[in-house]
Amino acid sequence: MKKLFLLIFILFITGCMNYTELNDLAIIKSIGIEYNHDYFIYAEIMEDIDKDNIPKTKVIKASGKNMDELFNNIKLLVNKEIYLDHIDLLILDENLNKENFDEIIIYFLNYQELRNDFYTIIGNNIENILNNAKYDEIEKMIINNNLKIIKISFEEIISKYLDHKIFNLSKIIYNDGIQFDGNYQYRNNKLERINHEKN
Amino acid sequence: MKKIEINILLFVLIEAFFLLYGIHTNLINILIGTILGLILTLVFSKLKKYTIMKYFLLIITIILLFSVTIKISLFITHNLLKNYSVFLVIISLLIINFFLIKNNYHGFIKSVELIFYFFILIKIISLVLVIPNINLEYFNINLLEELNPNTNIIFIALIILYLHQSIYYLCDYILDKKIYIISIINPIIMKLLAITIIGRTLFNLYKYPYVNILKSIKYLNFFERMEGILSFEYLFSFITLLAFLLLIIKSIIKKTVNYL
Repeated sequence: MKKLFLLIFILFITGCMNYTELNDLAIIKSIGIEYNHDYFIYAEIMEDIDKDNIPKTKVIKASGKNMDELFNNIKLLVNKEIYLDHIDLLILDENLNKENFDEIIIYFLNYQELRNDFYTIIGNNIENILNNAKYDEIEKMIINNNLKIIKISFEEIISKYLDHKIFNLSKIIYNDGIQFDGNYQYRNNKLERINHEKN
Repeated sequence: MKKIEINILLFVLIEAFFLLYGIHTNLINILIGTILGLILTLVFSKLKKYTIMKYFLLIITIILLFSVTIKISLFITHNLLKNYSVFLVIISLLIINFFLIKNNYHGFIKSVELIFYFFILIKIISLVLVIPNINLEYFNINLLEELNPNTNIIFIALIILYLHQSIYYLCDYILDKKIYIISIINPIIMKLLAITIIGRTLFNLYKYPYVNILKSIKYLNFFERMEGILSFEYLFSFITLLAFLLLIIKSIIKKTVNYL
């Protein structure tokens, strides 16, 4: 009798309560965040695979007064659950100030499913960058040792920012193609360009 | 009971208490607290024959049971079964542990010993995969703050005293100093390793920093996202602790009923 009870119990408590169909998930690959009186986010969402086996993505734009509202608005736009566990890249606007950084860091630290091990770079005109970059083009640029792009994860940035408010990261721009625009240091709440020798 | 079985149980219980209550405590608190705990244990070992100690133990165990059950359920829903009902996890945990302690404590302690060897294997795998992520820069930052003692020393000493008194209550047991020292060094090494991987600031910010360290494992696009499997070592110690608390309550009530 006890074994039967235990068997029934195990069969029905198998952790399917939080199951979500893959089609109901918006898997976000890259994110770009800007601030201009409001937060703007550009999320590159995975769609499906085309004939040549290359994944297709689309870029969604949303705005909000804070980070919570931002991600809620994306969820409303795509009508799916946002899935941030597969983020590969975060592009931050070069004009973000200290309050923006603090808010972004607090949001990403508290987001349970996020790993914070994705690459982070800065850029301007993020919408153009994400709309015109091919699949994985920016990640391949970062991994390419010839370009001397700083490979830094968001977790390292958080750690360095919280410890002594100084960290280095690279910048990309869109100018007839995605281009590397040098390395910068965040110090005294602003970004300053650094030479390659000082990396 | 064999000495090795009891000492394995003690090692696992100390790790479980440390992970649940002492993650963010300073290293100096752990050192001084455990020495103080050892002294208190030797002093109180003469008092186990008094009945009042039995009821005192029962009250503390019931309080700990509530607290530990909730903390373990929150750990599971935060890291493993996300967005899952905490209430269902609590019920599942309690039912599993009731079955674990259904018979006398010999079976339970033997099971802990058997699973312990698997637990050590997982620990070694985690260490091997995590050690390459050490960043020696973090070793120098704010490490002096680890040497500030505070009132957590008393809490740690009382936990050590409680564990020893409970095990004395279950069976005759002789304290093995080598295992005791290893079970104290284990949390210290874990904390130092964690700080050198994610930094002291992030370590204090994260609720479960040891699981966040496991998230940093990423090799060859194959050995990644393993924190669910590797955090089994923590789950094992938590369930052992929960079963142990239920066992103490069961033993005290059974002996009282038999006496009456």
